[in-house]
Amino acid sequence: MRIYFLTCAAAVILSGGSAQAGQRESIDLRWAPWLGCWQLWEEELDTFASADDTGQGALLERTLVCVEPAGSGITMTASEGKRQLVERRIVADGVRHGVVDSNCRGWERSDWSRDGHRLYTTSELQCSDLPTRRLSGLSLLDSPSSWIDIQFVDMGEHHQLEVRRYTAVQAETEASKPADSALEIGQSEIRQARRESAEVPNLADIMEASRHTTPRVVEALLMETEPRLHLDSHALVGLDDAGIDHGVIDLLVALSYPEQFVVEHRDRSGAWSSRSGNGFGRFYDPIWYSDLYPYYITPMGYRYWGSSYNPYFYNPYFYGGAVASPFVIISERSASQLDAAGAVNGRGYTRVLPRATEDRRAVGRRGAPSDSGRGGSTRTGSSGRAGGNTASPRGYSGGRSGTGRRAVPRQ
Amino acid sequence: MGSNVPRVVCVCLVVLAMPWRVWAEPASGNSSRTEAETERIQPAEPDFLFGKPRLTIGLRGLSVNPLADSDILSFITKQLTLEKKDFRAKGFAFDLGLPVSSRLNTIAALEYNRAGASSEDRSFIEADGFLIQQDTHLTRFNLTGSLELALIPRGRSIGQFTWIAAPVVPYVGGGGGLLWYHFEQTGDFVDSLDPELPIFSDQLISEGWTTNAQVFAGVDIKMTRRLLLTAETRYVWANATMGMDFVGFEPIDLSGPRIAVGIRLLF
Repeated sequence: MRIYFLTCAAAVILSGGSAQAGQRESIDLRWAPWLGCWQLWEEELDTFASADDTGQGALLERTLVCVEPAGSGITMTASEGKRQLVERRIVADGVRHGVVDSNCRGWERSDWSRDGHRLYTTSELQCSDLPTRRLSGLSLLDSPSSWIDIQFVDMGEHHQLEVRRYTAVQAETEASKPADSALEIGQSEIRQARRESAEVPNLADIMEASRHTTPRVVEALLMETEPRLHLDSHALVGLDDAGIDHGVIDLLVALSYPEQFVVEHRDRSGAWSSRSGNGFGRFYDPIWYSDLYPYYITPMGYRYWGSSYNPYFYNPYFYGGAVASPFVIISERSASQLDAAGAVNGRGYTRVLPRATEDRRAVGRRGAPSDSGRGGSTRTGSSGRAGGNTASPRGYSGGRSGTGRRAVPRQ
Repeated sequence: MGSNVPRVVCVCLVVLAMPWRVWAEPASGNSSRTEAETERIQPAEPDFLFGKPRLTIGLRGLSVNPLADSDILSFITKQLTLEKKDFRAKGFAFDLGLPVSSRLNTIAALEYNRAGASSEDRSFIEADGFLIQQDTHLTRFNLTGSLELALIPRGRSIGQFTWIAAPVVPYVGGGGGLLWYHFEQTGDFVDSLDPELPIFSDQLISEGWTTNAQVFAGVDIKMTRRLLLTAETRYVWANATMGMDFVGFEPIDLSGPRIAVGIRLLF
């Protein structure tokens, strides 16, 4: 992080122009890795896939999420072609900012991690008579060209985990961004900032994330970044003492010892899968064109859900009117069990499965002893047991089985 | 025989000193390692278990102190050049443990020990000057079931898949079982009841089964994630009626304390 700031400071000095430098002084350089335009990873897949299809050209360049510096924060826009769908201003100052949006009221807050590489987002929103909606999320770069946004939505009896992955757009795509989005920070600086930001989280990062957000978000963070850490007993005790959710610890252990465990996560259908990837996928879904779409493509806890119904949890277009979501729904039953048990493997976003799976001679009770070879001036028994010999407190008794030898008192 | 005593004591002292080494290493190691180094070095094997142990297997070498005072002991030490310390037995014990809870183990153990010495008749020699010599041995097999209570939890479970053995776990326990003994004297004996003092050669044996009770206390010291060093002291109560070769004696007292040092493996 220190290197990062030095780099940025040097860039400021070398770039010259006092007016421009003055403008940059107000920019929170921690935003630098995010500056520029991004495309939802799955839309990028759709773009490639639809290249062979006919009549699907409209999907090309469908949406862009662009981030531009704005004062001490950023302005994030989501656009579809030339139509702007969303515009948000975000200041990561750790302060609650009030939200008034259509029928919704509430607050949102953004905080930086200690190294400035990850952004924590928290919000609480009350929309009409719907249950209070609480969002807790995390954004980070896991590579210089890949941005992961994870949000956990808690809405009464419904819980949902949203994982979005964006890729930095190609140069020609970026050329299509709005003309007024010129960045004050150069592309080389942004690339350098992205390289410095894109680090696999370490234990301290995970512990910090656990303090800032929910265990399900941390699970998703681990699934998306797959850190393989050195977990020894000291580290485990440290995690436990810090109160880290046991489901998160199990996942850390499994990821650190992949030869011992298989890790699976829920997909949007509720099934367990070890494959990565969430979201729409490449299948037709009517909600693609609904009010959900701006929400679907927009990171960092965009709050718009539509005014009349919750498109995630009841979708009249979906077959049978059942629950439908491009994201992972964690059922109320699972969630309540999570609350009650603290952590139950397989009740959250992930589950971990272990990989399968003197004797000098043998004598009978009345046998005859045999001993020979004694040297020196001693001699021991050489005859068999004849029977009737005993020992008693008064002394040994040989019955009638004497050897013919006689003893004499010692001198 | 006598030289074994200080050897056992030395072994015990070394064992008792081990915890300091075990404790000292992680502490000093931690202070010199940076967090980054800690996380980048991938160990070949974790220092914890993937789950609570479901079975323990123990193997101990042991030293059994001399027989408690009994008339058979008094008799043979009076008649023969034997001393009480000659009945300090050496042996080993094998045990299987099934953890019942974080502190309680059920233990099934098989112990074998044997003591013996050669001797001469204290009062007589042969008329031609030869010594009258015998061998005396006592062998015991002890089959016991016990409950072993750890005074602190044996380990710490973290999550569902990790279990970390505690560095040092003192424990106490008790149980009972069956003991088989075999007391044997082989060699030449003087028939002191005969005025002519004839010498006879024979093998005098007393053996059989009896019940026993025992209490014990010890300490397990973590060496590796599944290897514990065990130091233990145990007292066994048992006595058995002497066989027909030994007439008029009180039951042989097989009671006595023993100390043991060994290992315990966690599975």
